[in-house]
Amino acid sequence: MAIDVRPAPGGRRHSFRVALRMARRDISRHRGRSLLIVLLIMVPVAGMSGAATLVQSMQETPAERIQHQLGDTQARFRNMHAYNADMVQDPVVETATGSRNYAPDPDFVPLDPKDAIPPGYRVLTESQLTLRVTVGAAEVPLMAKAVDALDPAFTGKYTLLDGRAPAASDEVLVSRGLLERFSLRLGDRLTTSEGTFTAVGKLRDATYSDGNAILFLKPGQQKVQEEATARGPAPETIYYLVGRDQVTWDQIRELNRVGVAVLSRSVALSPPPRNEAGDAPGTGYDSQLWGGYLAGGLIGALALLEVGLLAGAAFAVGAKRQVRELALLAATGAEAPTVRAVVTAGGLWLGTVAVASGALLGALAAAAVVAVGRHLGSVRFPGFHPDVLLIAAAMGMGLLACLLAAAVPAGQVARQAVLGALKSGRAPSAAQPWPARIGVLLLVVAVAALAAGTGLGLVGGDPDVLASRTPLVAGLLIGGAVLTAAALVLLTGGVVALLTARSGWLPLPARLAARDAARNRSRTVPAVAAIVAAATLAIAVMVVAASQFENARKTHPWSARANQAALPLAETGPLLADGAVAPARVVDPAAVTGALERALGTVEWTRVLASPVARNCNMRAGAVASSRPGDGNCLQYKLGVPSGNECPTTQRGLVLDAGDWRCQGSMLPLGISGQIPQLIVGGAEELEALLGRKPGREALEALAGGGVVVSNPVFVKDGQTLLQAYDLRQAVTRPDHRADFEVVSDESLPAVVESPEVPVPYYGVISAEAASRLGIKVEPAVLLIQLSGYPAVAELDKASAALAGIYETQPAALHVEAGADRDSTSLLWLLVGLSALITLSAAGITAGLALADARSDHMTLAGVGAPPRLRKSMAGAQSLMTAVLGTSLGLVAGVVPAVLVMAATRTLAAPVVPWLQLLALLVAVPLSGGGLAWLFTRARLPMSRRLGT
Amino acid sequence: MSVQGPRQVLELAKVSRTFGRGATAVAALREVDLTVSAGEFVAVMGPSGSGKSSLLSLAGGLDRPTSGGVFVESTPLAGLGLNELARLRRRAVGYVFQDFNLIPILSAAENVALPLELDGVQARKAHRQALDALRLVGIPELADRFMDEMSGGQQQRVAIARAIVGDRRLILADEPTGALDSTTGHGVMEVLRERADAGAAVMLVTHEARHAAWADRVVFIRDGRIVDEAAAMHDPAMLLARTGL
Repeated sequence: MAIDVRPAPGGRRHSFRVALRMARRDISRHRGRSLLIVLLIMVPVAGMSGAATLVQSMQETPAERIQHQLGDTQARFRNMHAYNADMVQDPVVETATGSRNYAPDPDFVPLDPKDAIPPGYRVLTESQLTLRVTVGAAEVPLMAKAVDALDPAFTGKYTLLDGRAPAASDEVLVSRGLLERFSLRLGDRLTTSEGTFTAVGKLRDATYSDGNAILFLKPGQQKVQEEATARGPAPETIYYLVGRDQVTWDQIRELNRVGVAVLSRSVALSPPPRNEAGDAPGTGYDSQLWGGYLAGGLIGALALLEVGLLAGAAFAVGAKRQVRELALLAATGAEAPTVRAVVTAGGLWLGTVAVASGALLGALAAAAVVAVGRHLGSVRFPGFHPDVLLIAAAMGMGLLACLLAAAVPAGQVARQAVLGALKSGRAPSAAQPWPARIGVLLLVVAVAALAAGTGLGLVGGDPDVLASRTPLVAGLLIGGAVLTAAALVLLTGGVVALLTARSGWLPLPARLAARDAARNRSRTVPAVAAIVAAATLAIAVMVVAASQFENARKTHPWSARANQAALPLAETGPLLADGAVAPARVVDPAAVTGALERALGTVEWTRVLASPVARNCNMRAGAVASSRPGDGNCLQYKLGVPSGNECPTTQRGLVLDAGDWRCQGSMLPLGISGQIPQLIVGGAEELEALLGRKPGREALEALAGGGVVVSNPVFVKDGQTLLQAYDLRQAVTRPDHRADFEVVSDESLPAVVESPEVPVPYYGVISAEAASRLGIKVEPAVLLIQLSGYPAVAELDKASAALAGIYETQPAALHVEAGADRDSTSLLWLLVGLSALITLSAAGITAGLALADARSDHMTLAGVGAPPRLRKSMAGAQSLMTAVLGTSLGLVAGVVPAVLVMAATRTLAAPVVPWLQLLALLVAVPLSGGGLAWLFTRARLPMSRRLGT
Repeated sequence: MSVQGPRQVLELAKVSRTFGRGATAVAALREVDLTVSAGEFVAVMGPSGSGKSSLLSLAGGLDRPTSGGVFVESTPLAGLGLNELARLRRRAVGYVFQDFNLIPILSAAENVALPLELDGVQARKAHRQALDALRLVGIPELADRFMDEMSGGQQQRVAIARAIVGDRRLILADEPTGALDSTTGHGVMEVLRERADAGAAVMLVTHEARHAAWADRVVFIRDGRIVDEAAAMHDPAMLLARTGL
């Protein structure tokens, strides 16, 4: 009677149950190894879940935003600060405005928001003003709001945390930050420039962190408000509408045309489709968020790849230890899938526990951070928003990494000859040819992907076309990089065999280590592979970081020379509601110098720079009025860039060639920062202050001859520079929709180039005589300050507090130029340290697992009389060899793709390989790994019973 | 009218097994012919390296012959895939090893029930059958014990119970008493004898004459060839004299 060898009905299901049971028992018998795997998977899953939850919790939901901004009111109306009827607001963020036409319309008269309010609403007002409080010798500004904060309509926007509502005219509500800043308690009195108040209640403003110092007046305290504003411009008032009728998007569009911006509850909660929003600019926020998620997901995926390889090494050791049991299972009649399932079931159990606990831990940690943040009154976290989808994705990735980590050794075990395993208790070590073959195939595909990505990124000429290909190029190159790492991992066995083939000349410990690595590839390859993955990731990050640091250094927008600051000497007020500019106020440079010298003690010198200053310039007066009305001035000057000297860019503003002489320094289309004027009127002393060295003879001669000394050769053609005057009131819209001003006159001057050591954004210097001849109205514009070193944060705060006592209508924070590479070198070394730590962790974990696996060999060595030192040296040599091999292969797999990514996506940065740091990593990791293995290998082996062998 | 003899459970026809290739090739078995019938207890004797264990591995489908054919219950093993061989082992062949080879993370009853559970039998039913098998080998009270909670003899009885559980028709025992003292080894041989008497085909590999004396037939093997065969010899001294061991 023939035997029925067909599968039994339900056999697969029952076999899997057996596999699950065996895996569970094995886990409980090897708790240390199981805990290591759980931790390896759990930590990145917890990190990703926590990060995703925190990012989500930092985003206001539309409902939260409306509650925080509007309370229970229906809408708020405010001045749009528009200068024509074409401007449009964003439906959700009413202060974000856009237009296709930036030219001021002289006939445009914006409507006062209060006159635009439809009938049928109760109206609440809110306005912001600045009070002054004396702190020591300085007067500091204090933000104040005039609002009936405790009106029930503001529920959710303002919350009384402690104390009571003000009853008397000198009672106010304050923020927690105000109490802390001035060391007050409720009931204490605070004296300001406008009067003395008693703080009777602690109020939370949902749009500001509690740490901000804010004083809340009631609109009834108008006298105080009027006094506070008597010397400055009238503060802007925002009108909140309380009523049942919704304000629609169509109404908002109509109101925009008369210069009123509106935040409407109904529109913000249900915004119009993008195509109906017209020219509204949008915040671009979603794309940033998704970009962040993409980058985070990529880093998380790479981390899980690394973790998967480490867990794979742990599973490989476990499977090797389990091989006899698995062979017995096979001898008892289990098919290969059942044998495989025992190991993969271990991955399923451990992975499930790891991802569940990781997700829980991440979410709980995020919840704790959110709770603490909210308790402390931070507006950073509007609510706790766990994102189930993102957390599930992180869990899925973790579980997949764990299952894949278990699947590879499971497959190897299932393939082993049952009899061989039963006879020797160890898996046969015959090398399989397939990993090398697949490795070569993957390497070919990887090289093809890298070549295709590089080709697409570099060939084509037009940077706009190349930039549009960036996602495809980045995908090909990152895919190529991952495939390269995977190929090298698969080729590791062959490389190990090749490198250890001629090891006869090595000293005994190294020779034993080499032979062990070659003969026991199932323990060597996972160790090397994990280090390859860690080193690849670390080295690629280092190359990218070094490239970006170098790019940042090259393109650093110097506001002045290093350790210099510039402060304005003509204080202008903010734009008023009617579009006019508040009367300018002259600041005494001696007072500024004295205040800074007292606050800092590092002031080397100060220099007043003279320049044309915009003063009392009515922006809406139009071109019909004079550019110099009365004591005012609307004329500003710039140096013209002659035809042919413009930095060549694409339509989208990308620089065609970063090395082009016309695109260096301040000529890069990055925008100008700092306070140094574009045209400076002065002589040799001013030039020296700007250049940091004595000016050359030619420059002085040019100044004396009525010419101009310019900072950049792009302004000079045929020895001449064009000085262009423009009127601040005559804005025009450029073809690329950017705002500009119309040139009203120009003058050609003989020019000499005198470049500073760093590309500060000043353009040209002329003499006072030349300015007078050209009719340029000049006055002290800027105080240039040279410090002997970059001040500490506390010193900057002290200086800003001192300046607050001098500048009245606008706060003048001291921005000192820090230079381009103040932190990047130390950051790069920090990165080396972190990379070394990650790679060493991988080396340590895998070396420890490999040593645990080789314990029986060490016992044999001890049995034949090997001294403890030999075993320690062998362990050290094994770790050294594994780390050298892993980091070397990681160097190739990390540097090549990273350089190609940077080269091909040139919009990011030019590639820079930090060879010194890489060399340090290559030396430090193997030596540390070898040393630690030597140190931690026990000289005395513990006695143990060898069961079943 | 033809007279049918006992049903053949195991047949090895001109079976050869060579390990390695070329100059390093070692012939473990050379054209071995052997049959074991139902109810028959065959002992295989020979010196170390004679090919005894290789013969057993081929009979149990744990290894494949270089040439020749192996048949279990008339089923040619050559035509079976790895998974089919696995099913054949758990349904028809019981294997008893010298080192017991129990799975340490499973209890005695779970070890015994394993082939049944792998074959889709409900866990509860498999457990019942495992208890029956443990009862047959005399240790039902050890059902819930693990390997490290039992003596060597107890472990070997569990291994035998695993080999006989279900409808096994072929029991292959590789030096099953090698790790046991003489009293315990005697008990194990009693159990194997009982299984043969109950209708199973039993093949025992041993180099101890006192254990081979329990068999119905003794096959002598040397250098991979069957060199002699003898009927039941209940006097071990005669066997020793025959083999020269």
